[in-house]
Parts: sequence; structure tokens; C-alpha cells
Amino acid sequence: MTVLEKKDLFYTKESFLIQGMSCASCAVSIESYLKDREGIKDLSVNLAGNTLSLTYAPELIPASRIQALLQEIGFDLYLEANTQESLTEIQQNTLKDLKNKALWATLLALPVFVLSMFLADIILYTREISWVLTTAIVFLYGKGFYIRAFKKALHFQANMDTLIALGTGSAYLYSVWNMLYPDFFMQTGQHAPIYFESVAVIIAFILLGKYLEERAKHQSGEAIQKLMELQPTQVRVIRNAQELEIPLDEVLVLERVVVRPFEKIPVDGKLIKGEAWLDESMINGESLPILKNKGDQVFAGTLNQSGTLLILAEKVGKDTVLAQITRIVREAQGSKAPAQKLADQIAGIFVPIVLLIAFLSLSLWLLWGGTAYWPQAFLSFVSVLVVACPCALGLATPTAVMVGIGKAAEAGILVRDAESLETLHWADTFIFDKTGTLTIGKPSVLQIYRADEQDIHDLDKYLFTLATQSNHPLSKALYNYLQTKGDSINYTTEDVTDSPGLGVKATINSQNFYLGSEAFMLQNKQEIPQNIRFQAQLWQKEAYSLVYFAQQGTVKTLVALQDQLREQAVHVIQTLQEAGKNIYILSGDQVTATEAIAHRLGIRNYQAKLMPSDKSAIIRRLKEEGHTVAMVGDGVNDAEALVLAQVGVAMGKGTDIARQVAGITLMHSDLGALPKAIRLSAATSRSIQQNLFWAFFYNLLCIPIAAGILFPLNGFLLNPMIAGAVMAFSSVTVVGNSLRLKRLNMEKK
Amino acid sequence: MKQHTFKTNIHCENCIKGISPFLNQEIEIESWQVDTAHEDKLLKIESDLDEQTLVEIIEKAGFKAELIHTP
Repeated sequence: MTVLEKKDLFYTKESFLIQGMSCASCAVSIESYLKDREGIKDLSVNLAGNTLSLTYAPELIPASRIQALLQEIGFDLYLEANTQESLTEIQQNTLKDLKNKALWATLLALPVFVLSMFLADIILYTREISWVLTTAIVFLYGKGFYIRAFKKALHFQANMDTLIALGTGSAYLYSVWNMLYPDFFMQTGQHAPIYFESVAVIIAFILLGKYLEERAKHQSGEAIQKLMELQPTQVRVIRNAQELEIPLDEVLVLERVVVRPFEKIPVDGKLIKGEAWLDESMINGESLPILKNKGDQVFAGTLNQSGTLLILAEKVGKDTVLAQITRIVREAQGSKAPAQKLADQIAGIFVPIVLLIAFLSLSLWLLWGGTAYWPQAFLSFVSVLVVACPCALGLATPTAVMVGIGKAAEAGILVRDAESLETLHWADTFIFDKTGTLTIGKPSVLQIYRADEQDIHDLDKYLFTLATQSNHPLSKALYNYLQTKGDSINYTTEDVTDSPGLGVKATINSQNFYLGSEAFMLQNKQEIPQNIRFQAQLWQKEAYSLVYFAQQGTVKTLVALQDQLREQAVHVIQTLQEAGKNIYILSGDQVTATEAIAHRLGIRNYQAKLMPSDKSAIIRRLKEEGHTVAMVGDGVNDAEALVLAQVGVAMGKGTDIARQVAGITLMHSDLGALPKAIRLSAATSRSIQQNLFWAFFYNLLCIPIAAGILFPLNGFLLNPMIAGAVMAFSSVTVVGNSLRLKRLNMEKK
Repeated sequence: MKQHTFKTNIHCENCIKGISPFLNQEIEIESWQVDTAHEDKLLKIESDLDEQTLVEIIEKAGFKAELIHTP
């Protein structure tokens, strides 16, 4: 995406994969380190996806410079990895690497633990063996913590690595010192304890926790993976009558592409040759395959269930509808929910505070207990550093948001930003547009009234023939209706005259027929019998659209048509009303039509004949009254209202503009997805709250215990090894809790 | 489906690249092939469109075309 800015600078928006982020304070420190650089307009770091979304001017600050800046503070940027496939590959390699590290660290830590706990007095040289094994763990598998912490320290920054490096590093050096110079502390009448087992176990636990966390993060990003898998990697194109197989990204616009049965369509385009049933459920939610013929539009990612097709590529690569959906999902997953802003602020000051508490507890121990309590003082120093858990805090919101948005995508609900997902269930007022939202937006035949019940069949065949002669939506509806009833015999017509907006006239078998409005009948002096007049009056009260059909100067048939309610409309409105939501219909249509729909749905608040600005005014007023407003609409005339409402919900088959401005799109245009979206919104918010609670709870509870607050009461002091396990467990709990969202049953109340 | 053969000035691979989009996007052209090895640079088109329309398409792409009446 390239936009021209003032000063003729090109700003581009790109996503990069970041290496080396371990916790929320990393994300915060990257943001603050890059934020005010010249040439960077906007940036956001997503811890859960390990990505950096950047809007920047490469002329002023090339990506390599940004990479260098990040390297200064201990991170790295994958510059060449701009495609989703390579990102996924890198993520998988990182995961594999982490898995190996965690596995080996655990295997080495196990003997250290057993030796020091159970065999210390039985086997000789346990200390020496422990030293060797622990040194291997520290330098081979834990070195990342120390390197990153050191680079951070050079810039006076600290993060989770700092805490781990300081905690395990001091325990390691202290133990080595005591091994080499046991007399140093003994002389002062103290023990010279050795903590190799703590160092080994802490590093193993934290690596294991990080691995489980990364693996879970990987799973929460699966939704995108599923979307990308809808695209084939190899494509067959016809170049100068030669069929060539080339990679997908080499296909050009306006090339011809061959797709065989059971292959996926690789591009958006037009069908040139062949016919086939296509499964387009991913794009428009139709669950049944659709028959496509020459000239029809086809979309990338849809499945060809039969027939060989020749397709003209009109949109390829990142311009296809599928690519747009993928991009929206990815950006939404990286967007920040309001709840995260608080968590970010806390994470930013969290590490310095923990460092402070650790040194404070060390000094207080020595102050009150004197040097006799040196071992306890030192143990609590290490425990505080190790137990503090900024990563749980940082993962609480983004993991829940990622899983929630991925889950939504699977149910045909496209979420554009995290805020909409978090807000939707708070909405107490739902505003619906009528045509195209509550209704299908296309009229269909309700009933046919005949002046005389004789010759129905013949007359219907004439009616069908006339309906084929006009393109008016009402004629089309009539045509569809009669076709399904089997009256689809088409007579030869003569003297066809189509008067747009009024009706159509034709001569069949030397008889004159008229099909159209009342005005059209009167204009052409067709007589309207009394019973037809009476029926028309009744139906007009119901706000039906009426079509008259005359044969040889007399109206014989009256057809009532109406825009149909969407299948789920009644049920959805009822569900919302039972949940105590205020419901409004704001329509641009006529009063009678709006009234009729409102009555059928049992909605008391409705307004008709509204201009787009009227809709906005009403939403503004409701917001001022303190309501949280969700607007559901499909048209260009709804766009303003969709933006203005706290949450905008667009119908998937609506206009492009409505979909672009709405935070949430119901891809299948199925209103039934709305209650699902609300349930998912509530569940996601609940997950976020639970996660934040757990993260705070862990830290609030464990840091004082680690510092030794219970010691004066009952002599309890947290073992640094347990502290390491608790710390690893807290991140896993938070991520695991978010992944529970995947199993949410969205049908249930 | 009728086959039409034109004598053209489509000389090389680049010319083919140039004319490809124009021929590809005409939905009524089922297939086409340029023989740059032939001295008349023959362009064969399978289409129900009439010759005049096809010549217009080729000229729109910036090339010259002359119908050859094949026996």
C-alpha cells in the first residue's frame, strides 16, 4: 500500500517479523525506541504475532536502518520475509529451535536436580558434576537471555531477559565463587551454599514455558494460515498457445489461466471458456456450489468442483478479494484492544519496579537480619527476579484477540479491528437499516390474485412470457416465481414495447397483453374489474408492491410482491430483545414499507424516509444519551452511520464502502451471525479479563512471597526453582486460557 | 468456431507480450497463436467474431494485421 504524502514522501505500510521479543516490555521498548524517529509515521508491535507493523518513508529511513536500530537494543528484524509463507517458515524454525533448546536444557537440568536434592551426600563430586552440567545449560541454551539483557542494559533498558539474566546470573556466579573459594564466607562464620540446581532448573523451566507459549501463539495465528492455504502455489497459464506451469506470484494481470477439476482458482477474473460448479463459501458464504458460465466472475480461493476452466486473470496476488480478507484479518489480529493499553503502560514500568523490589528485599533482609541471613536475602533476591512475570501481562490481551478474530473468521464474521470485537457485546442499542439488511433487498412474489379462476395455466404462461420481456426487478421476481412453478413455456412474442418504470406490452397469438403498474393499465385503457380493485386496496394497506396483468383489454391477474425478510431476522431481533437491547429501524424507504417490516419484527422504534445525515444525527443523539450503539447496515447511505456508531456491522453482500468502514462484516450476509458475533465478543472480553486477572494475581501474590513476606510468620521462603516454574506456568496459563476460546460454542446462548 | 489467419508485424517475444493482454481479454476469442518463425508472422485466432473486429483489436494493440484467406 503506497500513499503520497505532503512533501512528496512515499510512506509505505509493511509488516516485519521481529526476533527476540520475550515480553510486553520488549514490545513497549521497541515502540518507544522507534516512535519519534524521522520518517516513521506509525508503528505498532504485536507481541503475540511477533510482528512490527510500520508506516514509514523508506527514503528517510530505510528498513535496513530500522533493523540496525533494533539490533542496538537486542532485537532483530527479518527484512526479506515479507510474504506470509516465509514468515510462517521462520516462525516454524524459531519454534523448532526453541523446542530443541528447552528439551536439552531439561535433560541436563534433571541430573543436576537429582544429584543435589537426593544424592548430595551419597555420590562424590556431585558439586563438580553439577557445575559442568549447569555451565553447559547457561552458556549453550540460556545465553540468549544474557546477550539480550546486556544489549538492553547498554541502552539503560530492561525487560524480562534482564530479570532472568540477573537472577540466574548472580546465583551462578555466587555458586562458582563459593566452590572455588569456600573459605571466603566460611571465615565470617557462614555457609557457602551452592545453587547450581536452581540455575539449571530455572533456565530449563523458562525455556520450556517459552516453548509452550510460542507454540500456543503459533496456533492462535492459524486462521491466516487457513486463509492462505486457499491459494494454489503453482498455476498453469497460456502464453502464445503454450500451457506453462509457473509459480503463483509470476502470473500477470490479463493472462489466461487454466484450472482443472478439483483445483482452486488462483486469481480473481472472468470465465472465458468452460462451465463448472464452484464452491465459493469462503468468499460469499454461499454453502451450495454455484454454476459458472462464460463471462461470469470467479474469485481466487474458490474450489472448482467440476470441469476444466479457462480464466482471464483480472486481479492477481495482493489485489484479490482473498488477499484483502487475509490482510484485514492479519491487521485486526495485530490491532490493539483498549484493554491492552493499560497492560502496556503497566508493562513499561513493571521491570524497573521489580528490580527495585528485588534490591529492596535484599537490603531489608540484611538490614533486619544482619549478615547471618545472607543466604535467605540472596535467595529472595533471585526469587523476586525470577517469579516476576511481565510476559503474562503482555500476552493477556493479544492472544485472546488473535484467537477471537480467527474464530470469527471461521464463522464468516470478518473483524477489522480488535476494538470492535471487544466493544460489540457492550452495545445496548442496535440500529438496523431495512432494505438489504433486515430484508434480502430483492422483491419476491407473495401471492397472485385472479379475477377469474378459469384458464389459470394458460394465463400464467402468457404472464411468464411477458415477464421475460422486461428487466424490472418486479418482472424478474415474477419470472423466478413462475419458473419454479413450472410455467416456463415461452411463447413467440410480437410488437414488444417496454416502457421503463411502467410496464411491458406484447402481442402473443394475436392477443394483446399488458404487464405493469396501475398507472400503466390506466394509460393503456385496460379495464380493472371491481374484485381486482378491492384486492389491490387491501394489499396496498400491507405495503405490498403490486403488478397488474391484462389480457385483451381487461386486467385478469394481480400480483403482490414484497421484499422478503432475511431468514434469521425474526429470530435475531427476538434474541436481541430478550437480551434487553434497544432496537431501532432507520430506513430511507417509504413509511408504509418500513412500518410493515417493523410490525412483523415487533420493533416499536422505527423511522422512515431518512437521509444518511438523519441516521447519523440519531446515532449521535443516542451516544450523547450514554448508549453504546451498534449500527448494522449494507448501503452507501449507511456508511456515515457505520463509522459514527461505536461498532459498525456491514452485510457481506452489501456495498464495498459499507464493508470498508465497518469494524465487523457478516460475510455470509446472514443475520444469524450477529448473535454469534456478540457471544464471541463477550467470550473474548471475558478471556481478556481473566487473563489480566491471572497475570496481576500471579505477580501481586508471588512477588511479596518471593521477597519473604511470609518468613517472619511461618518461616516460608519461596525456592527459586519453584519461582521459575510459577513464572513459566503463568504465561502458559494465560495463553492456554485464550486458546480455550477456540472451543467456544457460538450457537449456544 | 472459425479460424482466422492474419499476416502481421508481430516480430518477437516482446511483441507477443505486448499483444497478449488485448487478445486475452476478448472473451469471444477462444484461442490464438503467433508464429514468429513464419515470414508473414502469422497470427491464428479461433473466434466467432468477424474479421473486421479482430483487425481492430490487433490495431488497438499497436500492430498491423491483414487477413489471409486460407483455402
